[in-house]
Formats: sequence, C-alpha cells, structure tokens
Amino acid sequence: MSRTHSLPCADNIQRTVLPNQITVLTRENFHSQSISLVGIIPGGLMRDSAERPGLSNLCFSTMMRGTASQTINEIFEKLEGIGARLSINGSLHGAVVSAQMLAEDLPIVLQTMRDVLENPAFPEDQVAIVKNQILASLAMQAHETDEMAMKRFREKTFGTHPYARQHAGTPELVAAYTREELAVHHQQIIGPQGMILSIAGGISAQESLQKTAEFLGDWAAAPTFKPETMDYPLINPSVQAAYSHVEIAEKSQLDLVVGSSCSTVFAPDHYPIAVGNCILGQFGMMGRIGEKVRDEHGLAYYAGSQYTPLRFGGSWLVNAGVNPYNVKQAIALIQQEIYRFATSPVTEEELSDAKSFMTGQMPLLVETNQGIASMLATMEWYQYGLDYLVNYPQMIHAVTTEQIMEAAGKYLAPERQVITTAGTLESKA
Amino acid sequence: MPKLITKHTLPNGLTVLLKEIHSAPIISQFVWYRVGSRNEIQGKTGISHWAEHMQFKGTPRYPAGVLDKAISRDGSSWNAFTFTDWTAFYETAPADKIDLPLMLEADRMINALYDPTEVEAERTVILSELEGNENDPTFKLSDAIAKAAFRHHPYRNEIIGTRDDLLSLTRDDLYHHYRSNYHPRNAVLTLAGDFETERMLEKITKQYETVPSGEQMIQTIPTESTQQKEQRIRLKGACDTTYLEISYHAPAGNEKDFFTMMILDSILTGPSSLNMFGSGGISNKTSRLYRALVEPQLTISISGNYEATIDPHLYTLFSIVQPEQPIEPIIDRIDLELERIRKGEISEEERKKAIKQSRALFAYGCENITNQAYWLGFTEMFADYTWFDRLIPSLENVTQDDLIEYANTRLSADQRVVGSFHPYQNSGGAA
Repeated sequence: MSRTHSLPCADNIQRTVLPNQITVLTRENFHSQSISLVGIIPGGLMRDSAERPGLSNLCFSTMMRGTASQTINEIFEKLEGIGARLSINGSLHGAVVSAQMLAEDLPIVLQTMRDVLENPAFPEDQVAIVKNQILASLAMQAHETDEMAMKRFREKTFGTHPYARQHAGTPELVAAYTREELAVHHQQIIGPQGMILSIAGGISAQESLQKTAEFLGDWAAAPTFKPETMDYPLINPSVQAAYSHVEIAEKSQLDLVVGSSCSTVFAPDHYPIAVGNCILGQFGMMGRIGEKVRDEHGLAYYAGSQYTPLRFGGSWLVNAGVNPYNVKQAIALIQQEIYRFATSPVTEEELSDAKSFMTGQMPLLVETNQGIASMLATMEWYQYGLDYLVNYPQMIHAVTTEQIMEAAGKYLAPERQVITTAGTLESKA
Repeated sequence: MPKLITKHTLPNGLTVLLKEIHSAPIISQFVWYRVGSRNEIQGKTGISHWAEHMQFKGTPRYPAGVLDKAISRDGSSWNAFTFTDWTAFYETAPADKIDLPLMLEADRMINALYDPTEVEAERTVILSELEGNENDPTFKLSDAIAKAAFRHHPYRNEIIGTRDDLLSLTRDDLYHHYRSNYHPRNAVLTLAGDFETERMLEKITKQYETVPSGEQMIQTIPTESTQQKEQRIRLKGACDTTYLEISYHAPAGNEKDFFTMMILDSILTGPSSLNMFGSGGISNKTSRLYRALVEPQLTISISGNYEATIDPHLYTLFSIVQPEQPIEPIIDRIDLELERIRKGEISEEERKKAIKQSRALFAYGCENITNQAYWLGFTEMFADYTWFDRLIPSLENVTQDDLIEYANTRLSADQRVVGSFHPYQNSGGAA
C-alpha cells in the first residue's frame, strides 16, 4: 500500500488563474474514486440592500431549476442519474457552489455547472416552489429556540450592520419578489471574475485543469455585471449590554446565548481568540463552560462557546440549552466563568492542551475530498497562502496566556455582554 | 500486501475487525456492544443511553474529566451513540496517537465507576437532552407512530427513554446494565486506518487479554404481531407547519427484501444513505414522489427513511406539507404511485439509476476513515461485515418482480401508520 498522505501544501496543490479570472486549485487524491468540488463567487447574501433582504438567497436557490436550454428535469436527470450532487447556496460574502461525483463524471458536472451559473431561466413554477420552501423554512425557524436565540443575538450585537439582517428575507418580501427581478439580480452578481474553484479527488491535476478550462474558460459575465467590491463597513465595536427574550410557546427546552462582537478574521487577535475559545468552550467536553454548566451542575445537555470570525467583524459567544426553570442559574454560572476567564490567565496546561488539540485535529479536517476542497477554497478566499496548513501550528503555538486574557477582557467584558434567550418562559421561570 | 479486512476472535470472545487504509495518517476505532433500546423493558427505558453517558464519567485509572482532556490533547475526536440494537463508542485519532484510545476503551469496558454523584448530575443532563428533543414536533410524531406500529416489540420505545423512567432509574440499575452487557463476548472492536494489521492485533491482544469474557445475555425479545389494518394518528401543537409521516413495516437488515426496499426507496424518494459520517448525498428532484408531490406543490419536501436493524423496523415517507393543504390528497397521490409500481410500471433505466446512485454513495462513504470503521461494526450488529461488500451486488440482483412483490406485500395500506402533526389555530411562533 502506498502512503501518500502529506497535508495539502504548495508542493502538492496546483494553482492556476484562467484568463477570465477564475482561480483554480487542484489536489490529487488517487485513494478515492470520487471528486469533490467547491466554488466561491464573491458577493453573497450581503449584496442585498437593507430594504430587500432575501433576494440573493432566492436567486441562488432557484438557479439550478432550469436554464435557457434545459428544464429542471433534464438538469437533475443528468446529475442524479450518475449519482452526482451539485448545489448553489448563499453565504454572507459569496455564492457557494458545491459538487460531488464519481471521478469519471467531472465533465458532466462542469458542463451543468457552467449552464446553471450562466443561463438560469428562473421558470415561474420553480420560483414559486422555492419561495414556498423558503417560507416554510422561515415558519419552522420561528419555532426553533436555538435559531431564534441566535437571530436575536445577531440583531442586538450587530445593530445596523448588515451582519444583523435576516438574510433569508421576510415572508412578505420573499413572496413579492418576481422572476424578472431574480433574472436582473443574477446578471448583476454572478460572473467569473474573482471566482475560486477547488477540486480534490481521484483525477490528475492536469486533467482537472484541462476540463475546467474547457468548460468554464470562455465564460464571460453579462454586460450588467457589477463585481463585488467588498465595500462594507466594519461592525461597530461598541456594544451595549442587553438582555432580550423571544417567547415561543410549548417548548420544553430554552436556548440561551451570552456573548458579544469581536474583531475580524484578519485582526492580530484572531489566533488568541481562537485558542482562547477552545479553552473556554470547546476543549474536551466543551471546555470550561461544559465542565461547569453540564458536568458540575447538570444543567444542560449542550453548553459551549463559539467564535465566528468574519471579514468585517465577528462574534464570540457562549450558548446552552437548559430547562426554563434553570435559566437564571445557568446565565449566572456562565457569567461567572466568563469573568474568571477574562480576569485571570489560563493555566499553562490549558494553553498547551488547546494548542495540541487544534494542531492535532488538522489531518482530520482534510481527510475527505470535500474537506480538502473546502480547505483549499478557504485558503484562497482569505489569501492565507498554499502553505497555510504547514504554517498553522506555528501561528497556534505563538499564542500566549496574556494575549488570550487581553482579548477576553476586551470582548467579553460584562458591560458589553448581550444575553438572549428563546423558549417558553411565561408562567414558568 | 495486507488482506483487506481481518477478522479475529480473542480467547475471551472479543471479536476484532481490522481494515488497513493508508490514505491519511489517521486511525479510527469503534467498540460496539450488542445492547440498545431493543433490549430494554418497561420501566427501564433509556437505560442503555444513560449507561453510554456514564462511560464518559471515569474509571480509577482515568477519572472523570481526565479522559476527555487526554483524548482531546492528542487532537483526537471521540463520541458515542446509542441505537435500538447497539451502543457504540469511537475515537478517531492521528495514527501515532492510537495507543491511548486502545487503552481507554479496554479500561472502561471493565472499570467504569458509575459514581452516584455523577449519576445524579447526568440524570438532569439527560432530561435536558429529552427536553431538547421534545422541542421538535417531529420527535413527538415519530414517537406516536412507533408506539402505534409496535404494540409489543421494544422498537416502540424512544431510545432516550420516558421522563418517568429517567426519574426512577437508579445507580444500581445502571451499573447492573453495564456489568451485564459491557464485556468481550458482547462486544465487537473495529479499527480502520493507517496501521499494520499484525502489529495492531498484538496491541489489541495486550490491552484486552486480561478482560474477563463475561456471560452472553439470553433475552427473549417480544415479537410483533402482523398489523391488520391501517392506523391513523393526528397530533396538534404550537407550530406553523404541518408534518406528514407514513410508516410501513419494513424488513430487517439481513433480509433479502432489505435490498429491494433500498432500490424502491431510491425510485420513490431518491437514494438514502446509511453512512453516519459526513460523506455527502444526492438530491432527489427526479424521484417519483418529488414529481408527484413537490412539483404540483402539495408538499414542500419528501424523503424516505429506513434503518438496518436486527428485527423488522419501519420504512417512513416524510413530508413537510404546504400550508392549508389537506393531507388526504397527498396520501392519495402516494397510493397512486405505489399502485403504478404494483402494476409493474418500473423501467430498466430507473432500476439502473438507483444502482448507480448507490455505487456513488458507496464511493463517497469510503473516503472517510471513521465511516469505514463504523461500517465494519455496524454491519456486524445486524448481519456480518461482508454485508457492506455485498451491498452493490445485492442491489444489482434486485429484479422488477422483486419490486412488484415488495410493493404488493409490504407497501399496502394495512401495513402502515399514517401520522400527521398540525398547528393550532394560534401557533405561538416568534417573529
């Protein structure tokens, strides 16, 4: 058996920029019979104006459902008939194309991908189906305690910044968008310029590149295309402490969030926050928070912390699902733990453990073709460089206890803590 | 060149399955115990799941709070699952860090403490997990359907157990469950990844050779009588969405009909995957029921679900219903499609497509080492490990007559439970 399992790096990733400005990254993996592909087109859900949220989401969700030359049935007969998957979804800053297929079927997928990116027809009946799916999703979310606690947290933390918006739109707006609006919007936001395309799997880099150039190399944007300029403000760093509850009837469990905003993914304290977050609410069975809230007090099935760094600011929060009767006790415990974390240094052992965990996990993240393709796209998206995974341990090991305490004190101070809850409190707590 | 899969039984009865894969410097280990909610009795439901939680609460060698840190420190992932037929624990580790997972699983097979204080703390954690499940209307619906479909068989019970049982189970109940079921004769150890088989077998033998073999529990599982007529369930709750679940009695995982059901499911609702670890999927926009229900906007979605189990379980069609849409026309439309199958309206292209889709899902599943270690043991729980390698040929052997016969005998109305969950007039949802 051969052992060709080095991490993806500059030595084994091929990076090429096509004439139409699509950056293609390929990584061979001949242990696999399949291929995964990830594409990012700059300009995602954030491109919607404040008055028209949900337009991009509806646009991306409908692009696969018929083109100028193919019906939805023809498109999906082709894909599903070979056991392939191709989807287009919206993230905050990009339209994300994702695909998986047997290695021999890459040409069919690329050809279909080109067609749905360039020529979506937005058929009236399919727009109606997708609208109903989005409306159903919004209706279900309104009864999900974790979703609603996070939604309210974003609103309170990010204020007027676009990160606070409901990017799926409101039911009224989604219902009102027309197919003509979608067609115009598509031509303005979807084009090859700046697109990143990563391909990993059982195919040679040369063949991947050749097929990509063949099917996407001559794709040109519509004349009305407006390239994404990423001209968004940074989030407002000053956050006022606040508490807000979302009442949802007949829920046995209540979800709670305690946290605040923090710096961007490019900020110097990105790695200190990442390592600190691991200690606070990730390491082992969800870090210090899990140990206190779940293990010591048995208050929650899940309790931990999340750090979400974005281009224009991020969030750092603790969340848990608890019985409504225990919500006050759980919040008090979480606040005590955050205070301890922000005012006294983590131990050398905790720091060493977190670093060891974060660097040790790396091979698991790039175990599958999907994992490799996603990592390659992320590395290019944030301009980390092809040796990011090789350099990553160095970044992690450079973090100090002082840096973590400084970041925690700065972002998780009581005077800027936003607390949100969602569930059934009336007549209970 | 190593053998693809090695099966070995230690003198104490522990079954070991090893599969070398050298695509990444990773090894995944699973320990499977042949006990789950299927083995539980009334008054003790949820005991298997709770015992699984207690296995994380320490041994004299690795006290509570030490195990998780030791594993995480090495960059490894770990977790556990309780299912109807089994309880499984896994660690996926960098290849040079596998010794600790090997040690700790052998240790907690025999030395778990079940400290009374930890038992009480975990009681509220599990109640919290139950409350999280209860937040979801589909949990309540599936529970009601299982209770209607199984009058006698323990598959009627939720794996997590009832609130009353979770409040009354004692530390001694849990410890007795542990000592009765967690031993080599009732366990299967599976490893896949970047190791050499002979060397790994030596390590395993060293870790487990001193663990006493234990007694195989002999238990009579109540059999389910044949359902005589269709059953209907209608629930209401605070939500804005109507859910429809139609569950048919289905074959066990090691029956030939199971493969027929897989092909039929692929034709009706698109292919389902039994992979547990992130290996992708295939959309279902060309399936018969998508076209019959979603395209004409009777439903928002349609999917098919089944489990490979020791005893016959359920095949379920699940739909999110369009607002204001009555469910009867949806059921009629499903019946119409099933009638077409019974009449033999199945093309060779449809059958071939289902097989190709399964081939693709099989390939996607093989990318993930954790998933491969999972399959080695999962199949041993209801059949044997060769089930996985026989999967594609078995699907290829399914004929049109098999599909017609299946639809006639197993997808008739008298073999199903139809359950729906409807919103109150005033739902109480959040804006």
